[in-house]
Amino acid sequence: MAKKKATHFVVERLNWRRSGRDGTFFRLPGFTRIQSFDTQEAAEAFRYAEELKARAVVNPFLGTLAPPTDQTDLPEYALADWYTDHGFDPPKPDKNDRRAWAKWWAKESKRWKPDRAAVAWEPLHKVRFYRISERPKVPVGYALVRVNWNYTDEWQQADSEGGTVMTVYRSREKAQQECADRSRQAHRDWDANEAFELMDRVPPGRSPFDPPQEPNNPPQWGDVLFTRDEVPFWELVEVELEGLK
Amino acid sequence: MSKAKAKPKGKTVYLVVRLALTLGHNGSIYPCHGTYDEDAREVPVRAFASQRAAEQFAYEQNAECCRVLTPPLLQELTGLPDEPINELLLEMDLPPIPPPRRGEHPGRGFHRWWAEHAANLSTKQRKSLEGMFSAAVFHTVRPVRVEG
Repeated sequence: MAKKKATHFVVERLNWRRSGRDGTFFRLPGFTRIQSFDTQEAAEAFRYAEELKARAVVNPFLGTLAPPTDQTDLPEYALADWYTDHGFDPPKPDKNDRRAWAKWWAKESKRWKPDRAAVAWEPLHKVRFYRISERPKVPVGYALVRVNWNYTDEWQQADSEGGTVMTVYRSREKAQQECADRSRQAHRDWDANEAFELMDRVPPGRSPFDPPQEPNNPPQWGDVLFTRDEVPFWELVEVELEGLK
Repeated sequence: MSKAKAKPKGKTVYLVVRLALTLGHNGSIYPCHGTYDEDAREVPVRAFASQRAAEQFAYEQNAECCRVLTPPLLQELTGLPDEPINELLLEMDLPPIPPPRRGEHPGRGFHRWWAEHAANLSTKQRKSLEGMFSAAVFHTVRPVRVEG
């Protein structure tokens, strides 16, 4: 009998983005590998804790074109009934037979304690922020990515994700060293007076559900701009190396 | 005497990269700018020793991306005109995409259509609409050297 490949459980964050500073989140295609666990239980505990952090800041009815179709398989009237049956006061249809779900959530959710919030999220099974993938245990590598910056006639603007992949390293230490060296060089090369806008880019080690990164200097022109010392020029992205020993 | 070419270090792997995407106004999604001197705008996803395995993974990931995005967002990303979508809507006895309002960005008509009709679509109708964008490519494979 063929020996079963050893697996582990990888928690992946789905590609949610915060739009500007208004608290609207959108889901885009893609995912980020966050952490691996030997057991499903450990992965599930981690996923659940991270899911709660996301739920605390996301209004699930914002950021989609057709709520509540994008949030649940329940027809709208059934979703409203479900909330009523569970002690909520869901939005009533307006004269055009539309319910303001996002507005209702924004107003009501402020009053919910964690257990009530958990109930409110129950029927919204299409809205997920993390997932667990059972994956074969394979080596990982570290892709060195140059962040793309574009000049807007006033300041530099970051691409929202990714960049230009230069090399993949097998050794984390070597990758970190190369990334640090290139970042130092980039900081030396950029003008100290240059301003940088991060857009919806999530800096390394942070999550889109964290509070947006604040610049050291307060915004001067209404735009949130950073100095060269506060933004990334090079990043490492962990990738699985399938088929490599 | 010609110089012998130095052999590049490391092994080649096939890296699956996803098109880097950015949010526009009102929830639109666009490919990132890349840079002026080259077009790289990629997010590394997974690397494979086998090119075939990498291409299979890229194919599966493309299909998943199409499931994540609604047809109006896929239309914006792919630039598919309204006409073929309207032909399909007609076949399914559904109203056509409304013409763009004055000054409206192309594709906004389908956004409005979706907001109005998505809730009433059957699973089959929804799948048919999603199927119009099945050729959308989000993931590609490219060889990369792996170093120590």
